[in-house]
Amino acid sequence: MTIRDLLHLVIGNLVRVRGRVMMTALGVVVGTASFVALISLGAGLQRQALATLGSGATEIRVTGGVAQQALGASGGAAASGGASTPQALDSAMLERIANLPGVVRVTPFERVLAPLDVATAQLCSHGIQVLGVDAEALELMGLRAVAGGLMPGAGEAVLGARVPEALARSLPRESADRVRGASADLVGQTLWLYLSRRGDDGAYSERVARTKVVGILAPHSSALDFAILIPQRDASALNTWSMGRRRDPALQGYPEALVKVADVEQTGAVEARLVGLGLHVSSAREQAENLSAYFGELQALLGGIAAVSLLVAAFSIANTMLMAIAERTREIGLMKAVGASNRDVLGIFLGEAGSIGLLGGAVGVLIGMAISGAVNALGANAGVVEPMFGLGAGLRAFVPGWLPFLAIVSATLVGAASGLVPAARAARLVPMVALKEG
Amino acid sequence: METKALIRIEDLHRHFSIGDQTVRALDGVSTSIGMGEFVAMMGPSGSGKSTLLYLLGGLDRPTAGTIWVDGEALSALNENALAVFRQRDVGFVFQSFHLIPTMTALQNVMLPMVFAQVPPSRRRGRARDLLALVGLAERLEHRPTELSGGQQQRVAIARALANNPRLILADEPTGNLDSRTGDEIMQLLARLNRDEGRTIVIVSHDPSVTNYTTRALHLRDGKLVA
Repeated sequence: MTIRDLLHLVIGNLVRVRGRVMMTALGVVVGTASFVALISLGAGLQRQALATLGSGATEIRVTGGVAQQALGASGGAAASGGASTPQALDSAMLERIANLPGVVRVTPFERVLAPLDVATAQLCSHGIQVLGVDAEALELMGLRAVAGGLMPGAGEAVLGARVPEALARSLPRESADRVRGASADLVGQTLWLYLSRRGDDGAYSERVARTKVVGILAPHSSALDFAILIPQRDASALNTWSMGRRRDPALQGYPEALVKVADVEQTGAVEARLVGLGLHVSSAREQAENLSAYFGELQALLGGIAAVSLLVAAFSIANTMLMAIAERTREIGLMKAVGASNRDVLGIFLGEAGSIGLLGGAVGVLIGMAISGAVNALGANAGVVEPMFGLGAGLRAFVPGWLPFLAIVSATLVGAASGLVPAARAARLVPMVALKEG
Repeated sequence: METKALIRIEDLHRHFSIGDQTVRALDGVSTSIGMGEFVAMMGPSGSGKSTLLYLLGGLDRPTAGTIWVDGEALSALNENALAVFRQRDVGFVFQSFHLIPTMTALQNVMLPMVFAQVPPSRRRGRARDLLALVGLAERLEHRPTELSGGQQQRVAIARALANNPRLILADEPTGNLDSRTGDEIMQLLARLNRDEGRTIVIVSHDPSVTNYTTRALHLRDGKLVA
């Protein structure tokens, strides 16, 4: 029997009992639709998460230790516990990093020491990081401003993308929403930095530094988004006051630096070299890998849940096939009498079962994709979902290209597999016995 | 003129186990049937005649003994080979017609050709010719529910001829028909035997069929009687 004839017979047989076929296929529809919808949800979340890493893909964050001189240690020997105590990020080290193959640029950041309160005329916050930067470096690192400028001069500050929102947390909710929307208004306002220190004599003193907000950055990475950036010299000056002794990071070592790599492929190699220099590194690559692993597991879990409903549908198909064969025993005997081989009969019933799976799978995929689209349409208009992993607002579903194909093939295979035992039974009927039934 | 034996049966047994009892439907039958014969197998109910017919058609396997069709032992054939035998060498006609109710007359007649892998273009033409042969040229697209008993049996005969088999086996072909229609069917079969030289074996409990057949075998309690 040719494939064409087989299909002809199969379709004819299914159309004969189309009501029953549709009822049975419904189980497959539900299973496939949930499979597609759940996996596309997982894929969408993964995409969103990875997208926020964006430019971070070619950046490596490097942290260094404090140089021996700053600790007052004698001798110039490098710290022996290489892995636990990183080398200092002093100007010599920065030079070495800049000369590594694959490195485009390295920008050090000075950290203004806590405790520190920050306030504008209306807002205040406790615990926002203030970093010292080389003003020209920001633009060269590929950072962009959404309001104002990028280069904080003396007495000026540039705010990270999420700082306005962090500042607004001190306000009641409605006001906070208003401020978030109007963050651009912060440009030009005065920002006060409140520092405190304990003197050598134990006395507690405070200092207020005044800066002017000259710009707000576009979203970059979680480190910079929540930071206030002021010029290196201003930061060093503040630290000198806080520590009670001269602070020169170029000699003593910066706490961290951002290394820009030429392209994504080289990130791994550059990271390895940095570690070889005795530094600690972290990069979006590691984050991306962790995220991918996390979402991979999530998707597997979701897929597994949907697969269970598909399994239930399989039983439904098997039952339908068993009933069909019991009803068509005489017909099977007749087919064998006119020359159908066991294989022909097997093919017909496997074809029927698989076709039910295929039909249910196709409809299920369409419904699943519709659900995915509906989530996108609704999610885009939803209120701000509390972000995780730096996700943008709203929920997004994404249907990867392989998903519909996999879903339909799985549904068809599930259908055929469920029909296997009934079909084998039909194939083995003795014609004479079958004909005498009924 | 000696007719060549198409079928040879040697000490054929077919036993069935019903509960803990053994029913000996066929209890040692030996005979031969020549090519071109029109044989009637007669006997009361339970004599084993239908059982013998089904064994001849490869629709069942004997408990013991051998059947040769044109020199080929059926017992030596595996399932697939037996299916091919049923396709090519045998055409079966049943008492209750056994047409597929959702297929038209034409489609029913084409069915054996589907399994024999006859190309679609040839199938239609041949089916049409066969239905014309049995006098149903006007009824090609009718479904069995739209046909009378006699007409259904004619379709079944046309179907039996689909792959041009050497042997036609008919199990009480007139059993479900009135006497006049039954006669028409017997006349049709006789015509096929005479004009085309087909070997036909029919099973019947109706003695009048012997008016059409060339030979009669009698069975009782699973054995041939003279």
